[in-house]
Amino acid sequence: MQTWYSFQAVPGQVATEAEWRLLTGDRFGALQALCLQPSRFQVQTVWCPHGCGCEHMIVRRHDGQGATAVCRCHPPCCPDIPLDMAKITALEVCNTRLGHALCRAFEFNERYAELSAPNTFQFGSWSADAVPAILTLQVQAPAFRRVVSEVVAQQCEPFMLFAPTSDYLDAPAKSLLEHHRCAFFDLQRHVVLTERGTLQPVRPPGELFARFTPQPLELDADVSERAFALVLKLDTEQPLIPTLLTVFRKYCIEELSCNRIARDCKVTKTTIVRRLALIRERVGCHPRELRRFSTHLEKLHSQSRTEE
Amino acid sequence: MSDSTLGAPPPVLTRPCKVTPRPSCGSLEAALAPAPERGIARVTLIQVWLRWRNAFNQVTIRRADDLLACAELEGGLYDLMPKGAEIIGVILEFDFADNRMPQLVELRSPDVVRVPCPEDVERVLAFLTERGFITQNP
Repeated sequence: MQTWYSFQAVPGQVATEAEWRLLTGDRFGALQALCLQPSRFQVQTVWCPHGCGCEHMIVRRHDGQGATAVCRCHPPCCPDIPLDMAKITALEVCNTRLGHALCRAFEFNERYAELSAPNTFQFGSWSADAVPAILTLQVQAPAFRRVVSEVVAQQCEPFMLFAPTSDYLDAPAKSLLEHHRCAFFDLQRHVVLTERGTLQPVRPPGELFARFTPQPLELDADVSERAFALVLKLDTEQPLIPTLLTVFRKYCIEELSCNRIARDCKVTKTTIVRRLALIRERVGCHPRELRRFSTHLEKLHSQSRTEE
Repeated sequence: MSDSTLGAPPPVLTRPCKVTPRPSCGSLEAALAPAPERGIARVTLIQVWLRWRNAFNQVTIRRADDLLACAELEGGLYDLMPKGAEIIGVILEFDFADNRMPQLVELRSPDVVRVPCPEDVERVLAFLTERGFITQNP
C-alpha cells in the first residue's frame, strides 16, 4: 500500500535512496527493481534532523564513500552530520520501465508516448481498437484534476487513466472521465508488486477492461467463424506442438502476448511467432485483428469442445 | 530554500516539546476553534510550511490572512495540506479576549514553539496541548 502512495509524496519523482526507503519501508527493494534508477541530479542539501530551520550543506568525501552535512545557520548551531551513500544518492522513477511492467501485467500492447500534461504518459494500448492506457503521477489533487481535464480535451477517443491511488479522484474528475466514456484504474487496488519487482494483476485483464474490448458485428462474426473453422482444419492437417488451436485460443481469445504464450507453452517466442504467421497466411488477416471477436470466438471454441 | 525567518515572529520563548503542526485528532477547523475559557477569542492559521520528500528538499510556503477561509473560497482546487507533504511548521494568530494586539505563535517540528509575549505562554501552550499540536508537554 505504501509503495503506490510514495509516488504521490515525491514531486518530480526524484528522491534520495533514504527517502524512498522511508516512504516504502520493506517494499523498497521491490520498487527499486520495478522502476527506480540512479538520477544524474546531485543532492545539494539535507533537511536538518534537529529542526534548526536550515538545510545542511553536503560536503562529499574524497573517497566517494559518503559525505558530511554542515549547518548553515549563523552561527552554526548543529553538529556536523555524517551521511552514508543512501542519503546522498538520488533515485528517480523510470517511466519506460514502469510502463513496460504495467504492459506485461495487463497484457497491453506496448506504446510509449509523453503527453503534454505534466508527469503523464501513454504506456500501452488495449485490444484491436488500441484504446490508450495513460498513467499520471501527481502529488496534489488540483494538479490531478487539471491533468484529467487536459487529457480528456486532447484525446478524441475513450482511454484508460491510471494513477498510483484513487486519493485524488474527486467527483468532478470522475464525472468528466465517465462523460467521455473513459475509465479510471488505481494501481493500488488493481495490481500487486511482487518481491522480484514484477507486477501481477488482481483480476484477469480481459475481465478488468471488458468494456474496452470491441464486440463483433454480424458480418465480422461471420469472418471470425470462418477463421476459426480454418484453424481447426489446419490443426488436423498439420499437427504441431503447441497446436495452432492452442496458440489461436491464447492469442485471439485470451488476448495474451507472444512472450506470455511462449512461457505458458514452454517454447520459444519464435515458435509462437511462426504459428501466428501460419495462421495469418491461411486465414488472410493478422491474428491481432481477430482479437476484436474474442467473445464470439470463445463461444465457438466452447461449442467445438462440447461437440467433441 | 531557507525560510527559517520568513514571516516568523522573534523567538521570544522557545521550549522543548514535541510539536505536531498537523493536529493528530480531528479537523484543523475544530483544532482552531476559540477557547473562551482561556481568554482566546480567535485562532487563525496564517502560514504553513510544507516539505516534500524529493531530492530537491522542496518546501512550499503558503501564507494568507486566513488560510482556511482562503481554501474554503477556492473550493476543491486548493489543497491546503496535501497528503503527500509533511507539514513542518505553522504560524497561528491568536486574538485574545482582552483586546490586546493579536500574537503570532510559530510551531516548528520537531520541537519548537515560539510565543512572543511571556504572559501568554501558559494559556497558549495549554491550548496547543489540548488541541493536539503539542503531543508531549514541556
